[in-house]
Amino acid sequence: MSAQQQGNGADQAWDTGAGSMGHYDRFKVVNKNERRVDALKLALGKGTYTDDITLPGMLHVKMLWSPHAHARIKAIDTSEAERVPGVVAIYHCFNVKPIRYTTAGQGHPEPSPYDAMIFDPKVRFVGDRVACVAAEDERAAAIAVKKIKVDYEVLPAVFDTREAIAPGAPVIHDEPDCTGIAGFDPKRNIAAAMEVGHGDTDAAFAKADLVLEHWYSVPYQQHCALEPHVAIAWLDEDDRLVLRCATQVPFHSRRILARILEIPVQRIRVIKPRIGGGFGGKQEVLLDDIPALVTLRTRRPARFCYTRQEEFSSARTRHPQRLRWKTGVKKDGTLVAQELEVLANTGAYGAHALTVQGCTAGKTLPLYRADAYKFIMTTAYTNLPVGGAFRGYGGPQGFFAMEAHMDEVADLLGLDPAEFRSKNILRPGDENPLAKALGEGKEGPPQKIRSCGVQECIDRGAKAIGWERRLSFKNDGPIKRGMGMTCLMHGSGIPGVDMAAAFLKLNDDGSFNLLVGATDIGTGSDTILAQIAAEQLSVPLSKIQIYSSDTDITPFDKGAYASSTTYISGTAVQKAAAGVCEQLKRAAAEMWRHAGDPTGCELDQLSCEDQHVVRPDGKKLSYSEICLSTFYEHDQHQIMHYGSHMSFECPPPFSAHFAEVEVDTETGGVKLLRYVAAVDCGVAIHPESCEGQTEGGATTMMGYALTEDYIFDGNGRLLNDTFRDYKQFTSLDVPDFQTILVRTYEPSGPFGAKSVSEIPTDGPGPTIANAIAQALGIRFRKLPITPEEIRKAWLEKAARTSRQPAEARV
Amino acid sequence: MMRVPPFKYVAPKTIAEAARALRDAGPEGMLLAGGTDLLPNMKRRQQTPKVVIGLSAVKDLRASLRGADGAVTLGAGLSLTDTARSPLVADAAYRALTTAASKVATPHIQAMGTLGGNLCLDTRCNYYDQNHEWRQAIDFCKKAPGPHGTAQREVTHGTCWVAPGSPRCWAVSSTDTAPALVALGAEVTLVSADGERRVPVLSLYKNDGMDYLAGKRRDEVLTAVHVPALVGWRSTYWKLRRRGSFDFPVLSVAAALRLGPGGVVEGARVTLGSVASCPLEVTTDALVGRPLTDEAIAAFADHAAKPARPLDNTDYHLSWRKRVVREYVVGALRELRGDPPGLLARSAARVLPVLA
Repeated sequence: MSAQQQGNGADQAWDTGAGSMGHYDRFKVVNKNERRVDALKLALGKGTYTDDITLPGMLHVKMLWSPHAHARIKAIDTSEAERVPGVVAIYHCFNVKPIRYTTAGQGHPEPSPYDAMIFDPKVRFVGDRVACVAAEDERAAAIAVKKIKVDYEVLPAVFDTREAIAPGAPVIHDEPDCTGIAGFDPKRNIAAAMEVGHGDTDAAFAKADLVLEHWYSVPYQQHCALEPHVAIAWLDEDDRLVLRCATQVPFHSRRILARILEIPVQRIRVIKPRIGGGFGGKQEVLLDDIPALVTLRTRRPARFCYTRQEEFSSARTRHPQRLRWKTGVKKDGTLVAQELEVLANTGAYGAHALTVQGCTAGKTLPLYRADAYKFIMTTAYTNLPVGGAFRGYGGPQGFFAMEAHMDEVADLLGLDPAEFRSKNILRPGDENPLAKALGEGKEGPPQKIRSCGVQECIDRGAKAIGWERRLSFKNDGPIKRGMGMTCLMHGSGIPGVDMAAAFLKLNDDGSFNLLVGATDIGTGSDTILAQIAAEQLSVPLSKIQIYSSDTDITPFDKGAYASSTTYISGTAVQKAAAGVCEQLKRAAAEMWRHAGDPTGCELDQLSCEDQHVVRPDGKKLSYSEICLSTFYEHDQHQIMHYGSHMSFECPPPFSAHFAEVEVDTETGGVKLLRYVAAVDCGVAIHPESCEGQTEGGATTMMGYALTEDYIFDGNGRLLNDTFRDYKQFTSLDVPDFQTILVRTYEPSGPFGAKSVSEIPTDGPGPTIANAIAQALGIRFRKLPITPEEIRKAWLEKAARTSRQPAEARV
Repeated sequence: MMRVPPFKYVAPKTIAEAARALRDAGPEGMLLAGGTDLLPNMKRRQQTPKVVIGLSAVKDLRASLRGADGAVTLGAGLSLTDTARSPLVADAAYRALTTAASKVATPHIQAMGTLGGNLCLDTRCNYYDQNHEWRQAIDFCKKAPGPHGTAQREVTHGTCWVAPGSPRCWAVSSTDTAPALVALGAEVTLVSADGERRVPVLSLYKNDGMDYLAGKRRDEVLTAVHVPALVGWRSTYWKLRRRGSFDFPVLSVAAALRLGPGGVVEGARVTLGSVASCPLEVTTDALVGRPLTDEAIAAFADHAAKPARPLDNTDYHLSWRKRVVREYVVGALRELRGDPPGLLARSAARVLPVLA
């Protein structure tokens, strides 16, 4: 009788992984810092990236981008551009078939509105596509782009979300054929909207001793992957379209391209070479259609690569949001109600508009127990750059508001922020109250927590940074010191949606080919998946030859997003390897039987140990011997197996972040002194990579907290579209950083693993804001927190206290 | 796509050859030292010389020595890395120069960029330091009036987007080493085909975003920097930028000080950078002859901040930049007085140790 069938005893039998901790001592390949499978070729600079190849006769593509935030294209005159020597073709809305789709690289059917076209007769932001030129070289294409004459009817534009959804605002998507789900209302510039909840919030707020409500806001952010978006297309000897591109979603790309180019999926092959970082920006069919279109029309290879400036203005971004957080709490610090309202800006197109904003609630609200929850969301179209998937996927926005808010509540109650959080934080066996309502475009499966190391994250992080020191900061000079902390959770894949597959076969020398659809975009997933296969097969990592993401050769995988690769694709690999182990045992038994030595050859008596199938009496056959026999001698067949995996569970990783800062009240400058991130990602398959993911993810978001923003002029033109003016954190800005991997075992994951890649992005915004708040006694509810804002707020505070000395203390 | 436009390349081997080549090229010629400023500008079509005279083969430009009087001569072709590490300027008196050199952009750019090149750095502005298409979209500006404009000095038309209606260009002097060298009382040698002359560093500059190098004739090569012997002096350099690396200064304060017995100021020089189109020297009469008390520093800082008139053409809000001038002057002087580092106001960016 399984645990689930025992009825009332289910909670006691609920597997939280506590009983599996002994596995840590038995791992041979996983949980070890193996050398990454791609380390050597990357270190040697072998040409492995998309743009490392060039093809005979390859055309180069350049795009004409809209100079207007909102305009209708009345006519395009390409006659002068066509006369530029080397120009082969020019495409625009008057010679390319209009088919609506979404650039969001999501599963079928994509839960994002179909509001984009390859070329649209209307442009909706500065940097929108107008026309493309394919030429013999990049220079000719660039010259010709400047010679295209476009007759625009400039339309009034709207840049503010509140103005965009107000009556009378210019309608950005007035075309009759755009479609969407979940509150999609283009006439009101609404790309997505929802209101969901759990329990009776009115009653819960009425019960509360204290109700606190504040607005928060977060800015645009750009992924800044070192490799820009790039794709090269050509026709193979069978006249099939081959696309080599920097993508996180080769299978979604193939499916979406087939529809908008009107050719069968069978006629397209998408190859993903090494990728120089994606961070969600490549979970998008952003430019793949352009070289594909050129190749189909001209029958010549074509290449299109964004410049850095195009990355800033015309690729995707993190959705800016305004958030209203309202909590009801008892005097003793027990949370009773939480309400979140989000007004998000998706820019000109609704890529990921519903789901990113859904995750803003889905990843945050369930972290703390309450009687009732409510989530109200509106995502507005504006005439600004387009939002999209970005590592964290709505989490960083939500956590900034929630974790800043939790500190404010703790402060009002006079409680230690860490203790207040510990009191309310979820526990193993808790059900996610919003899981059902916040599925990806459909009803989500119920979620119940198994492994949960969040309390240990809090305890060990606090110890590492010296949390109690915060009470003894003197702060009597102009330099004020402060410390802040946050608790975080994320997910592992999209439950009930994400599916991945893997294929494994044995070779003569006892090595294995592992073919996975999973897409290593620089994360190290090729290494991690090979480690999982090696552990299951009981072979060293060097025996696994992994090949990933080629739609002709590897099985399907949803792609590299939603923190799903280790958890979903990893389990698919584990299943494939387990199947191969079964076949190895079967073949070995048959070899022994055939040799007249059948003792102890029952399958359940055999084991796979150190590249051999071993019998209870100690006799063994190597994988190589088994392979040679099955290839050439007896019972001839290929030992091979596949695994597919989909999970209705989505175990959250947990984390606690701590920061120590110094704030200079005379200049407003902030110096990050120390940062500690304690993370529970289940079993860390490759601990160093988990630390790298944590450091990288957190560093990305330190800029979000302090220095990064999109600056526009009054016409919606981005002013800081270079690495010089867009202030990302550099290595010299990163503080002393410590990552702590907390050990838990996730029973539903491969060898106990959960995800790790996105959760670190959730932390730095609120953690740094909380540290600054402690240092100054001033709460900043808007990111980034700049020296100008700090200095201004400090002077205002000083003026207030000197005017009203008697009322200074409330 | 950003590529340099076509140009003729000349590679002289001596200073005299370089000076002749520069004269022969006329207004279409420009000197290329490390290339970290000129080449990006050429790619963006802000500067489009038809003749580029490369100085990397001119060995004499890297010669450095200490004279009998203790004064130091640094070749203008020394990289910024070598400048920061030069044993000739290891003394605390020259800390302003070595700190400034080690805070220019990134280590890569310090390895390429030269001391002379940094002194001749083009002025910077949000409306100027953009690519051609971007500037085209705003119909260019006074400093770089588009593809049909001639060499910069001759141009008299175009709008300054920072101060429309203004007769001049307000681009910002963004060199790190110039304010430091002005505070150290340094001079430079300028060599032309007709001869050579030696002038104070400050006299190179004019408060004009376009004609910022008015003190150097177009046909002159800046060949060497001369720093006097500074017995008993200390100096420092404070740089404000958003990040701890990479960024140009949006404010710099270079200060040099000699304290006598009883902490009485015997000599003081303070220079502000990146608050105008040239380095600004602050008069220090109020400091000299008195002890360096907190009150003296505060009064001097108020005085020093007055000439700084930042405009809205670089990073950070201009009123805030103006306000921080005072705090930076206070910090720099307190550091020279010997206050413990913990009591000093910190720069917004991380303060990094000078390379030994």
